Amino acid sequence: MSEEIQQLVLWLIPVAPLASAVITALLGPKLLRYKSHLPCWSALAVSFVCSLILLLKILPSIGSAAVDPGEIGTFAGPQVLVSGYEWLNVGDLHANIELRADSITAIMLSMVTGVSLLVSMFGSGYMSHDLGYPRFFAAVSMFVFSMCMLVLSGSFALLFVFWEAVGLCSYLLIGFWFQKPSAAAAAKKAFVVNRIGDFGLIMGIFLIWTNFGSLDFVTVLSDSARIAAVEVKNPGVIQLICFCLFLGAMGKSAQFPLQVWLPDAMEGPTPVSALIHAATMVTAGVYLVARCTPLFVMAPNAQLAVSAIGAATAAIAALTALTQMDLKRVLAYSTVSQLGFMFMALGCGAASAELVTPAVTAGMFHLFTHAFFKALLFLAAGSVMHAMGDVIDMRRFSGLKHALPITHWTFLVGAAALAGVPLLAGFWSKDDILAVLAEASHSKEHGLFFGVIWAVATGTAFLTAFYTFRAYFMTFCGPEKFPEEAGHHPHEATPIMAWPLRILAVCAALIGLAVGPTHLFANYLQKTMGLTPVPPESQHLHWGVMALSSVVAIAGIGLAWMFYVASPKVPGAIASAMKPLYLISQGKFFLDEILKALVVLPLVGIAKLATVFDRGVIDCIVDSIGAIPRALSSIPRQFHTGVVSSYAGFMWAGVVAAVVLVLTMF
Amino acid sequence: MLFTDLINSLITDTTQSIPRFGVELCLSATIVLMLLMRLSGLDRLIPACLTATVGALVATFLAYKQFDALHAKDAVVTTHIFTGLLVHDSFTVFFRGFLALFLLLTVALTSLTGIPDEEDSPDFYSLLFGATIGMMLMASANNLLMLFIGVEMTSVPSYAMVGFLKGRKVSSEAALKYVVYGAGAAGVMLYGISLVGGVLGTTDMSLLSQRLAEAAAGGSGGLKDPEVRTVALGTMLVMVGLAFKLSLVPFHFWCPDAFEGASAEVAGFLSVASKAGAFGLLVRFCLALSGAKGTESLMISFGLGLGFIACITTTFGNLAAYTQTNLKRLLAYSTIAHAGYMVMAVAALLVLKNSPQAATLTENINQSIEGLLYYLVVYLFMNLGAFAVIAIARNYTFSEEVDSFKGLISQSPTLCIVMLICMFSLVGMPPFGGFVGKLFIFASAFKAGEVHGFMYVVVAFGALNTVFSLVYYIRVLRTMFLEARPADARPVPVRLVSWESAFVVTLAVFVLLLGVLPHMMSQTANDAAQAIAQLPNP
Amino acid sequence: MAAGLNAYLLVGAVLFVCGVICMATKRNGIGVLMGVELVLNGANVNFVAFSRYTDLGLDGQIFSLFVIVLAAAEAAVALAIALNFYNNHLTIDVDRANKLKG
Repeated sequence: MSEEIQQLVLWLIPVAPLASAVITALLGPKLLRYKSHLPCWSALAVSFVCSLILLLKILPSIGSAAVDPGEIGTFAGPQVLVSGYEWLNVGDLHANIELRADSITAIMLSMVTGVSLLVSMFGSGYMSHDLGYPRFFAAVSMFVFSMCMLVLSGSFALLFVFWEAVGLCSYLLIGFWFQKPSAAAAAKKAFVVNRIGDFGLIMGIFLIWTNFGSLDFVTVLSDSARIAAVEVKNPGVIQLICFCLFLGAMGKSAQFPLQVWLPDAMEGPTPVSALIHAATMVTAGVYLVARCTPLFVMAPNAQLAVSAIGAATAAIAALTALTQMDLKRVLAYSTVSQLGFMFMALGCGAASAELVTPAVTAGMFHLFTHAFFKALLFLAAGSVMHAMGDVIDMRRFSGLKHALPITHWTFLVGAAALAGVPLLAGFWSKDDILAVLAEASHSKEHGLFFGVIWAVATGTAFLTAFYTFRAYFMTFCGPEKFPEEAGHHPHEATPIMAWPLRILAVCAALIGLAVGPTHLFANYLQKTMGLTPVPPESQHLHWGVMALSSVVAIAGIGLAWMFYVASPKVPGAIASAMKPLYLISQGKFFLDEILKALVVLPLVGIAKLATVFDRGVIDCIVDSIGAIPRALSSIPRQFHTGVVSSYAGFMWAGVVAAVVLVLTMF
Repeated sequence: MLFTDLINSLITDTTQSIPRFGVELCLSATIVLMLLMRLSGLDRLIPACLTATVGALVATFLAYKQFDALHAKDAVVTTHIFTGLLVHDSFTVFFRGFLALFLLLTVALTSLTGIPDEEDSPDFYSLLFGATIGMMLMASANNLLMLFIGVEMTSVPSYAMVGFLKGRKVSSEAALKYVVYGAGAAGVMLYGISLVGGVLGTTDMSLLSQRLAEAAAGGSGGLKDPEVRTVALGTMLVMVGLAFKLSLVPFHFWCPDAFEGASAEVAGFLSVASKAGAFGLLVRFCLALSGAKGTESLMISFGLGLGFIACITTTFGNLAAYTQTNLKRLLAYSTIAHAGYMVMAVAALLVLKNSPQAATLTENINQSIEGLLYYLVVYLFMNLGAFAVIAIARNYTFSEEVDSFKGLISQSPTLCIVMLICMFSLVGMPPFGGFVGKLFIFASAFKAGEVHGFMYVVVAFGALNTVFSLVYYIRVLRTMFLEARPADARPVPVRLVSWESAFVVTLAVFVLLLGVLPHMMSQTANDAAQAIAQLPNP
Repeated sequence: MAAGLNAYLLVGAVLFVCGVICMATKRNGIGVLMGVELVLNGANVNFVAFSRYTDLGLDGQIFSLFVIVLAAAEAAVALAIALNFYNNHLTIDVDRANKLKG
């Protein structure tokens, strides 16, 4: 494939959704109306095909051409495709817009464009009666564009721009039904919480700029000697950079204690929750940490923090999910929890240098499989919601398996994959994570630490299986019951909604088996810049861990079956027996309240105090500052009296001044 | 020389010159045609705006053919045409293309908005075309005589166009103010020309710097020499005349009044085209006097003086715009401020070109001219876009007050979005064209700071003003986007699929393209800069 | 004794200054335009004098001819505008042109 075509393919991936966003935004409300999905579909299809070409054709071909035996083991990965556009070149400033694709990018791109194509198809059915139909597709296209650019960015600067852009799209989509006060509040909450993370990210980027003198990924990340030199020059700075970057990742990927925004984000339309708040955008934090692996390798403490925060998030979110009654919220907490799993894995590099690559691989693999089954679960939940007349409280319906057969079996596949039922997608990736953690717990230095993390992870895996199937049994099993909003005959998903469900279900079932045990995924990902490929002989399947996690998953499902199908009285009894614990979980660990008490209330207090001060002192100062431009502005206006002779006076004074200046200058 | 030889040489010269002068000839032919049609009553059958459009199209096509050839290296050889009165080089071709395109866009806008009415349109278009020819002459002048003729040929039709709205008090007042100051400034400029040309003994601009060096070398020598002083005085007076055309403080008073009184179409034309012509001339005049041995420090002082005026002008324009309620007047002050930014490029050019290290700074000298040209091109699209939106909305609301744009987004989103793009570009926000233009100019002014520290102050003023100008543009946008449309406001139903929308969207697309793909234009601008500075890049 | 270049330049300068003062002080529109004519003719005197005494030569004479023509054109337009102003305001006092301000 010629160079030009390769570049074209690379550019088409982000440009097609951008074009669709612009077209839909301009023509949508007046011209396209309820055909607004057409540009979006075609653009996403183009992007998806191009991503697959990049993934399967272009990068492998470059890789085989550029593999140099001497290079294995260094940071410069062989699979890299760069397409730069020199935007500005003024003096010493060279502003380039550079797209950069290596293995991790190609995997992310295929996943993002593929899932968003399916979600947009589902969305056209789901949103078919909404007045904001064109707005929805314009925003989705814009989001896909931003997300593609985020993973394609060749520098931290561009990454930050699109990091903010995806945040903006998410904000617009959470608040899609901005007439609802809860939606508007959720959008605001997401916006504010994410600013905390963004502050960390921008500080991290600033530190990189001052210490490395560049924001280019290649310059900063590809040379381990250079990173070491920076560390020697300013001890501790790499660690600081890593903590800052991780703070950014925590905000976007909803890690404890910044996870509060994600469950509220479910106020957006369900396809949006599936796409942005489950499958794609929230994984940007994981991507960032994985991308910056060469930096994190130099900062073991930061890695330990990554693992610890991940474990805490996973456990807390899973415990919260146990008692939620809102189907979408259960899934939202499970997303937070699974993101915690990914971070747990990413931190394992602290244990030993050999573990870095397997750790990143495990985290990214879970990200990859999670995207499919979580999108599937959300879409199936959307289908339930659609049929139940927008009721999502699990207490108000049950036994839907006969009314909604397609939704039922696809949800079952997704739930099984999430729970880690053997051979399904989630099984393989969760198994990888547990295996890496188990291996890390054998290390000398941090053995105990990772032992605890491993225990938490296993326990959380059990909880995951339990709460997932709790939701499944409550929704689809038991006596058939519909809320009155649904009418008498709930309607099954229309074909345009059913087909994405079927396709995703097949993916959720098979994709792990296809690329996990065959090491296809691992071998591909390890060619990413900054990772050290693991020799094939040390890759093996972890039979022990697999057996354990199978047992854990089956046990969780069994317990759920016992509680919610066999003897439905038990959960109530347990709940009343352990009332305090139940309330803690039900109340989402009161994190919102704690946050309110610790952060918001003092702030409000300070704000009240400040108001007094403000009224008295600051207002006067600000008012006078605000009045300055106005006052200044009246000065030039005073010259413009409109009277010819006064104008002439100024002009001739100018001429005379010019003449006098020249005559006296020397 | 024998009489026949003289005739022969004249004939050869003219036959060589005419093909290079095709655009101007085409415009002149259109004027004559329109006047003849009016005489014979043909204009009742074929509307004058059609004739004007065809004429402008042909002229633009001819100009484009010359312009397109710029891409080929050495395609345009610098030639003196019409016995050395005019010069034909890449710079000329650049401006010719620019002005022809702008004329075409203005004609299209006036046909869309129906100003002037059918009765007056042959006269109006004759004036418009005549003024454009004058600007083309300004940009290609190689002789002080052509300099003055160009300025007058631009000014005289402009006076009449400002007063073209008959029976309106403000229009006649605006025209009167414009003509009184304009004529005065032209007189001062002419007196300056007489001093420069007389003392140096030539009106040929390509000889000025050499003669100036001779004057500085002879007599009492150096800058004390009375001849050099007289030339400096004359130069200063010429600059005063150009400063008037560029509306630099304190010669800017005509500008807000004339723009407010004139129709938005005319104001848009004047704000861009007459500035462009004047900048072309200013660059030529400054380069003609630069580089003379012995007078470098004098020219650097002129450059710093221009820098000082630029600071005052931008600050003044932005401050005064802050509290305006009439949108045309607001844009008039913004025009003043933008002229200030562009003069910074000329100041940088003078300082760099006359510095002792000039030989090593060729790239930066070219860049300062390139920045000016780039800014002019962006300015064409963004300012015309803003004025076009005003003109189109005025046809529905009969008002040009900021308040009449309240909540326009609910009725004409296209107009509002175009206005947003144009105004963000005027502020200089990435990724719009205005950002790139400002960056070029500030970069070259910053480089000039290495020669003289005062240029750093100029850059600081430019940057501060950019921030400050955001305030009043945002105020307009807030009115358009966030306020509710009053119930009693006249509706502005501009649909997306209409000629008006197509026109303004085209302009906005170019503003965006110039920001995203700067190479489209900057290389051509750089070629033109190299041609006029006669300094090829190393 | 023939008058030298400086004498002519002095006449030109005096005309120029007179014109400027006339423009700056007259409130009558026609009066201002007369001031413009004085300034232009001051420059014309310069051109003709320079053409006699320096190597400017015939260029100076040609220049002044062009200036005369352009001045006529400018005066025509200016008078038309003044007339238009008079039609609207019933005066040619330039200080009455004070609606546009700020």
